[in-house]
Amino acid sequence: MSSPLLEPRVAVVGATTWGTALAIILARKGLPVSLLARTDPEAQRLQADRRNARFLPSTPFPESLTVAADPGEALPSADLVIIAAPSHSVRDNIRSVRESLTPGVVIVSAGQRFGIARWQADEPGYGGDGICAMSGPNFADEIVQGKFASTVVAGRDSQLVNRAQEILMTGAFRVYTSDDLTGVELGGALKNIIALGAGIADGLEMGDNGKAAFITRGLAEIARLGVAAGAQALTFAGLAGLGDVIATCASRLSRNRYVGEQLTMGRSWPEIREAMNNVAEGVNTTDAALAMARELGVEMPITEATYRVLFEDLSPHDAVNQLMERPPRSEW
Amino acid sequence: MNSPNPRTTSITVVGSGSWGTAIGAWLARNGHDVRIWDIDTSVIDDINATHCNNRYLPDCKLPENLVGYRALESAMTDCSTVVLAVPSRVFETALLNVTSHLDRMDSSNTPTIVWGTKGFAQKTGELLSHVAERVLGDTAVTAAISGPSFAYEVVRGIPAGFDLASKSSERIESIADLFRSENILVYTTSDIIGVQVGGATKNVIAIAAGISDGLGFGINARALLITRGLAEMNRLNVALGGSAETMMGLSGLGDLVLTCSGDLSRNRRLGLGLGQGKPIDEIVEEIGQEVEGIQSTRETYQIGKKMDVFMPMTECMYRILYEGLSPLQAATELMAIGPSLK
Repeated sequence: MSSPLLEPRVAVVGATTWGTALAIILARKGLPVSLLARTDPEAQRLQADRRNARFLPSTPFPESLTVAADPGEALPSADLVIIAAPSHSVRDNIRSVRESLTPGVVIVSAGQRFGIARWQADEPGYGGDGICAMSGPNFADEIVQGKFASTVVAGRDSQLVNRAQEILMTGAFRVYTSDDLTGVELGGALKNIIALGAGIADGLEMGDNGKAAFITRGLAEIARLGVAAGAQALTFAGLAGLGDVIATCASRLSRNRYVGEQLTMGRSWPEIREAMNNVAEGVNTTDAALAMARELGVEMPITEATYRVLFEDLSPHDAVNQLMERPPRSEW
Repeated sequence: MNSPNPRTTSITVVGSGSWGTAIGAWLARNGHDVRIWDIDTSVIDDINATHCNNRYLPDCKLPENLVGYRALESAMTDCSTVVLAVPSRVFETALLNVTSHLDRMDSSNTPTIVWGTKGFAQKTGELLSHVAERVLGDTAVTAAISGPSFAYEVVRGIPAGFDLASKSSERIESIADLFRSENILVYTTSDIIGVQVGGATKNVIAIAAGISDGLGFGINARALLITRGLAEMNRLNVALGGSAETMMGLSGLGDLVLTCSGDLSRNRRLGLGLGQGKPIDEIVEEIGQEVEGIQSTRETYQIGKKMDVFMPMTECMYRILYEGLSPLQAATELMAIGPSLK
């Protein structure tokens, strides 16, 4: 390890599972990393335990990881800021820390919500071209075990993207770069719809063939929406699309899949929501994607069927039948 | 023989392995008069006697209108369509056999020859559509059908989706209609090259994904391998003249996802064993059936070399299977190739 003074400094906003995992692997690489908690008591608890007892209890913090609660203390010296806070708005997260940042800092949103690309379109100059999005098949518990994993960092400024790749890459965590910010962001968000649908396919015992066909058609559908929004189609066949879908569908722990399976057991979304103490992104994403699809004039039969199952009491069985009755012609 | 329902017809299925039998049962359920033939008459006799294929698809009840034939010539008599579902290494032999009886088929229309066989032709490494073109010329209308399809599920009528490719824009929809049913979606495309490359190369990646799981690498790594594997398959596809979009569909991405994740895949089981450090011969013996991926790894590797396509995973799989490279060493090499810093 070279002198700490020459090492890039990293700040991670949000002691979530993913934020904590990234802070740990980067600190293990020898980088000075600040993990920014939301409140003082939370920071004190993390510091006392020297681990994130709530989300990653069996992984101790490396020495070069420090815990902070004050953005004004942690952020001004950072070369790379990772936004991993649990909020419904990535804009709010960035706004709340923005005044503490120094010019030229690389900002990476690791929250898998769409918003940055649109923000940059809505408010050029405020969102700035400097914000990158990161997405991929990234189960945090495997990553802190040092298992191989990969992700994509996308942004419009290639210098910043390359700088982010350089800082984030470790021996086992492989970081690919992309200029398709919209595609990478949308892939990370929209894949939740497919995960929810895959849960329905499992619950209905549709079989492996049917599930593989469903995943393929689901990806084609989100790619269509992405292309209409300005993304590149191939991004959805990459790590931020296909890769993420495979990982999510393979995981027994996916909340979106869980919701899908529960829906096939005759439970309604409000009932399921009440019994869950965690959010299932796929539900909100289905709603948002459908609104976007209507605005852009894109046909999304799977998303629409999922929406009707969630919010209009369509039975999952009938939804599948209706999808199968659509006359298939050309796949694209 | 013309069937009373104008939408149904007489079809000969060549090959009574698990896939041929499943296709036969599927077409028979669609109401067609289906005759199945195989060089191995013991399976044919079994199908007629028990309405089961006890050797390749045990515990599956086959429809009564799927009838076994001991002679290909009589099976094909008055048929409109032949569907080949034989292993790729005997594809040309089977096709030559079919060609010699084309004159027995229903003469009211040019005969239709479809194949559900996946793979490259043995020795020549050609795509099967090239073999078909060479052997059949314009004596038949041809189509390839491919998609994520475990025979075991198809024979039971569980939902599935396929791509069907043909260069005949006039006949393609009516050929697809033979296969379409309540539970089976069939998409059509003119990209006959693209539809074949996925099925011919996916087993290589399935072995790699199995190895990764066997080594205990986890879900993130498997997703990485499958995604980068698809990119590699697509590079070969485009070099061979297929369309990149086709590879993102059911015959490419869909089949790859199935082969890499379904526990029924023999190639995946081979990879798992290799990852756990077992010798190849022992694993193949345990599986007890042909593991196509061993052959298709060699073919894919050779074709990739010939076309000068960058296929690092295929190369690693070739070296593991044929040159004794250790899976762990291969994984380390692959990860080093990954993304590079600019």
